Amino acid sequence: MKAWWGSFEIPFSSATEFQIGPLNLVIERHPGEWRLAQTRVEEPLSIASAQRSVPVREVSEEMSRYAWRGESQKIDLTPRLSDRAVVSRPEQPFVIPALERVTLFVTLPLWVEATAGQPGRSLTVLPIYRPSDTWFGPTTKEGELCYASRTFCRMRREDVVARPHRALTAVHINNRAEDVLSLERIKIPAQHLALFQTEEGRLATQDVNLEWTGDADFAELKLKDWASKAEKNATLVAPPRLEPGTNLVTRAFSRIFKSA
Amino acid sequence: MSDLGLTQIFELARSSRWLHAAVVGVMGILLAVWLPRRLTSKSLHPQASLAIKMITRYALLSITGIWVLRILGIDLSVLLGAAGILTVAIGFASQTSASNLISGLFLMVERPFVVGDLIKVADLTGTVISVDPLSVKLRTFDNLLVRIPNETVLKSNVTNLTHYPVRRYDLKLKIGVEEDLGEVRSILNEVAILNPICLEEPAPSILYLGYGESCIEVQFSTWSTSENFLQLKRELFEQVQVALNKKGVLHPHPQRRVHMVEANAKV
Repeated sequence: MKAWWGSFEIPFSSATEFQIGPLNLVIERHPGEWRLAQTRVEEPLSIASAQRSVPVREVSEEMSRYAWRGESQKIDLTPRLSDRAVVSRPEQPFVIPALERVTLFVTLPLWVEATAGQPGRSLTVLPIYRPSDTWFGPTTKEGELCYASRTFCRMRREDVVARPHRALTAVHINNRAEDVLSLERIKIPAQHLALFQTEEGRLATQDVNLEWTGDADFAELKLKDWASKAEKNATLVAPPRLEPGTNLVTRAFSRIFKSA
Repeated sequence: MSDLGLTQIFELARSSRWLHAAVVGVMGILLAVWLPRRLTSKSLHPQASLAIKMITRYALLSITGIWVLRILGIDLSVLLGAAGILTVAIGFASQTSASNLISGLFLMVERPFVVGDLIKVADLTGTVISVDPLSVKLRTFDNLLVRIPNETVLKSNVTNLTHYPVRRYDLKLKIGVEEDLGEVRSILNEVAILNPICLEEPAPSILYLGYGESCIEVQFSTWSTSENFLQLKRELFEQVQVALNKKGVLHPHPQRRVHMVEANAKV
């Protein structure tokens, strides 16, 4: 899979258009400034990927301007994960019996970070496709604001469609309780995950381990040290947006949503 | 001057009544300014912090004033006598203020809202900019300052519009009786899915409120964060309008059935 990210030279008074899935990003370099214009197609799961030179355009509403006094004409595009957790659902709710474990595969939406200069300074971080907000919690009084994933959790890795602008995550759920765990929605802490490029050229994160001991909707979250994943022929592309703390216990499951 | 110690300075001050009173007065005022700030911390609630500061400050100023008067030799018993009579008069005159003050204490303990919340009191809606001992001050959307006595707030129904992190928006619309309700439901759900600030959970819902004049009244409920509520309200209204027009779902018009009869016929 060809990488759409990397370093790109954009000479003064010229523009380059990047098609990254549903995102169409036009970057212009002018003396004293960078300009970025973004538009999106309606299909959020579009897999288009292209890059070409385009004519410079007039300043418009979709355009953002960033003051830059340096002479550098190089810009870096880096994929990043979201700044919030992502909620995903299996196609059909299913039950994990006591002392059973399951692995689910889910793809997470990506953002694009544009950086310039040496060392790189961030100009902006844009969603490739803005996911919907969703509330994750037992009631509307308590919970957490998350993003809703547009793709379902899959039981088999082969069933997950490879998309260049989404990252694959394996979620291992271990039911250590003596009760069954009914899985309807699951919250994945995307803001604590690092982004890697696998040998196949695909974007992926480190595995997520959730252990449920029967405590309502809470699970103990264990993340593998993201630095160690690099040893398995995976190249680190971006570190986590937020470093996870130790001994994370998180509300990871939502079985019944009470809107009261 | 260097040979004079602090003790000597105090002895010098005590020897002159006026100088003594001036020193005590200045030290008392400085203490009344400095000490209240030291008594409060950032972890304390802003309203409680303000109350502690005010009580401490006025108590210190009162003690300083009495002490200065005693140093100057003014007989306080006369003042105490007058104060007794004054207390009764002030008591009658300040019933409302006392009620507001006590109501303010209850509000501080109960905390139905804090500074920054958007609240509705009777027909007034605004952002709380301060909760003072006697009143609550709001800033309305059209940038007006409204002062509401605490007693009024305590006696009224107060709605805190931003207490919870998410909020529901109910869009009421009227659909013609001849329209396909299933199609209308699909159109509305599609609008909600395409708007990213409309929460996926809690899921949008559609409620049929009943039959109106030549129409079916529908309530389309969606959720957003409290911060995005106004934006959702504006966007959803426009997006629903566009979506319904695009699909040819017409807004109902009042209909009348007219019976034409012959001039001489019996009605």
